[in-house]
Amino acid sequence: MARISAVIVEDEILIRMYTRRQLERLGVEIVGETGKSEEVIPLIHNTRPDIVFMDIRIEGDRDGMDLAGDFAERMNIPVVFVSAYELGANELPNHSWCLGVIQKPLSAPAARQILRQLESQADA
Amino acid sequence: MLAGFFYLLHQIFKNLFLLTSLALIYGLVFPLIKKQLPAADRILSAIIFILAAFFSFAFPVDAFGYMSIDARLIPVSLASAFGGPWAGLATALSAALMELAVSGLDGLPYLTVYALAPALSIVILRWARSRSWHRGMMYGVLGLAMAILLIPAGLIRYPDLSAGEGIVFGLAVLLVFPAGASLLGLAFDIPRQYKILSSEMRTSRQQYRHLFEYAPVALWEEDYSEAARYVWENPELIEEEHISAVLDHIQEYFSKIRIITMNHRAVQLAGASDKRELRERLSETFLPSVTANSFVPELRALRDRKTSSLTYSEIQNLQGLHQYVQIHWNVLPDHRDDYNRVIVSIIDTTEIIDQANRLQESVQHQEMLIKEIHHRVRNSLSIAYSILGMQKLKLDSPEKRRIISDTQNWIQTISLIHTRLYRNRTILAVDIRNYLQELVKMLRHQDDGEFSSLEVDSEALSMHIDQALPLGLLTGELLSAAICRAFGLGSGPPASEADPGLNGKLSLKRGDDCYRFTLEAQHWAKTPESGDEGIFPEESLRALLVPSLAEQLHAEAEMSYDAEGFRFELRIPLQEVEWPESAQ
Repeated sequence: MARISAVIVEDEILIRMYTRRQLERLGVEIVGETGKSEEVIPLIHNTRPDIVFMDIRIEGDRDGMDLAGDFAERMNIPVVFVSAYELGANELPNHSWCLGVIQKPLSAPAARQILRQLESQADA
Repeated sequence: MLAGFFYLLHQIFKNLFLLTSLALIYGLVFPLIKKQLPAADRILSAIIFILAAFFSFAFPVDAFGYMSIDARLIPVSLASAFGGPWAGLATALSAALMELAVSGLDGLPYLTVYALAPALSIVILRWARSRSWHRGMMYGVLGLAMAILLIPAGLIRYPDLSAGEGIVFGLAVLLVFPAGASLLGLAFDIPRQYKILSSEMRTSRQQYRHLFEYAPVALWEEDYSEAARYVWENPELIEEEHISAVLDHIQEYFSKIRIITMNHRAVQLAGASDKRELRERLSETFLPSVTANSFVPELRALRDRKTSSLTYSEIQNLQGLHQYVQIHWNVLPDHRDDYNRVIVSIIDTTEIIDQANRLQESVQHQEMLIKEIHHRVRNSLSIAYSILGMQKLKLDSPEKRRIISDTQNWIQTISLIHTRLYRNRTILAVDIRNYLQELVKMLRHQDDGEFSSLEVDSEALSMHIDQALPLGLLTGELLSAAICRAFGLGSGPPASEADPGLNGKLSLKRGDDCYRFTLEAQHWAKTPESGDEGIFPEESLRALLVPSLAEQLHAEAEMSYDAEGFRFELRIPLQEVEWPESAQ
């Protein structure tokens, strides 16, 4: 299987850097990253990643959930939310593209679990 | 003898008839004259009693053919009672003159009696009134006093009476006077009593009207008799399945309620200029989707023949102002069968509800701020964690990597407290079971090793943050030590099915005077450190931290270990936490 490509949306630059390192260690190719809401949709369009690691509260007018609703279904791109908020299951979008929510910052076991989930979905 | 008795009775009734007629005149005519001429009160009373005396003289009670019982003393004493001393004296004077005219000097013994009668009457009446006697009894005693005055006078006047005749005379007087005085007194008293009652009723009605009109609550006086009949004849309409149909046509029910009146506050509440405008435009105050529902408790109360009900509703006044109201519906005591007098009170609760809403908004705003603060703290801690994480990725030495991992664990332990606090919307209390479960889940997913199983057995408890945080840090230290001890420093292999690896159990129970915290780990000595048989090296930071954290908790700690595992027990003093209502 080809390397998994990912986009990271996170407005805290240090957390974004750490997330990038963690994912790269696990063999993920980071095809784009941003912390501004207005840049998210064009970035996804241009890079067409296999997965998006999306912070919920980011800089700009729109939040991560709102943005994900805009592209994930239409472009069939899975999204995993990464947040300092702990969200309940009923607060997440009830769609197949939503892989769940991970507590910030992204730990290696949590990242491994998400990648396994993504691979099993791709196999199915 | 018998004929004499009947004759006596006949005479008494004749006198009674005359005096009752006079009493009626007194009752009907006298108030009219008195109203026009208040000062003439006593003079008129005196004149009426002179008339009473005059007519009664025309019919003295002839007990026997030659002997009469002089009943004139009764009007004299009653004139004193009702007209006062002057009326009594005037009546006594006319009685005395008449006696002299009729009986000549034979009547002289009675003159003394007439002179004494008014004074004696006044004394007796005052005495009886001061003791609040019943009026019938009061007049009876008056009659008895007159009889006692009259008996000696009669015996003097008729000196030739035999002993038997004297006894009959005495008994007749004792019988006739108290009975006659009681009856006549009561007859005279009726108009006065009526006057007092009607005056009290008028005052009471005026007070009720005043109270109704100027009560600070909107009041409506309504006649529900037709509405009640409508409900009783169609009880099925109030059933759950039909009620919406009734509410759709609520105007039909409403038209059966007759509004008698409403008070000043009701007009003010409805924003009307006067009562007439309110009556004409009442239906405009209804809010179609809401107001009809407020009739449901009232309809049910009518169906169940209850006499009160309470409901809450919303209306729109004639100025277009939206109002929340509390409506209390109450049947007046004398109308509990016919429902034709019902008082409906309407209390404007708009201000209270607005205040409650503002308070709610303020609470929500505060909660949002608290959540924001916790979020910011977590975010900042995540940044610190990320920097350390990047630092760790650059390190080759397992020992240095372990130091960074420990630091990251401390950060995560503190960060998790903030998550639990804002999830529970409290400032100081943590759901400790949930916190420990999350903490264990987080720690067992460390990069360098995993527990194959770690059971958390805790009661659902609230713990103060002052205790939860040291306990969390202590748990983290012990678990990290166990992992470190089991897998050694650096990247240990994950436990496989063939090798159970590190197992543990964490338990927290509430006792009578303390929380009992226990942490057990088995199969930990998989890769024993050279020369180290303890849980952690004596000179390590952990060896300093664990007892210090136990001390901060004011806890008693016990620790034991062997080659297979260790057991750590803490008894932490109870510290009660009040949960805010919003978190329950």
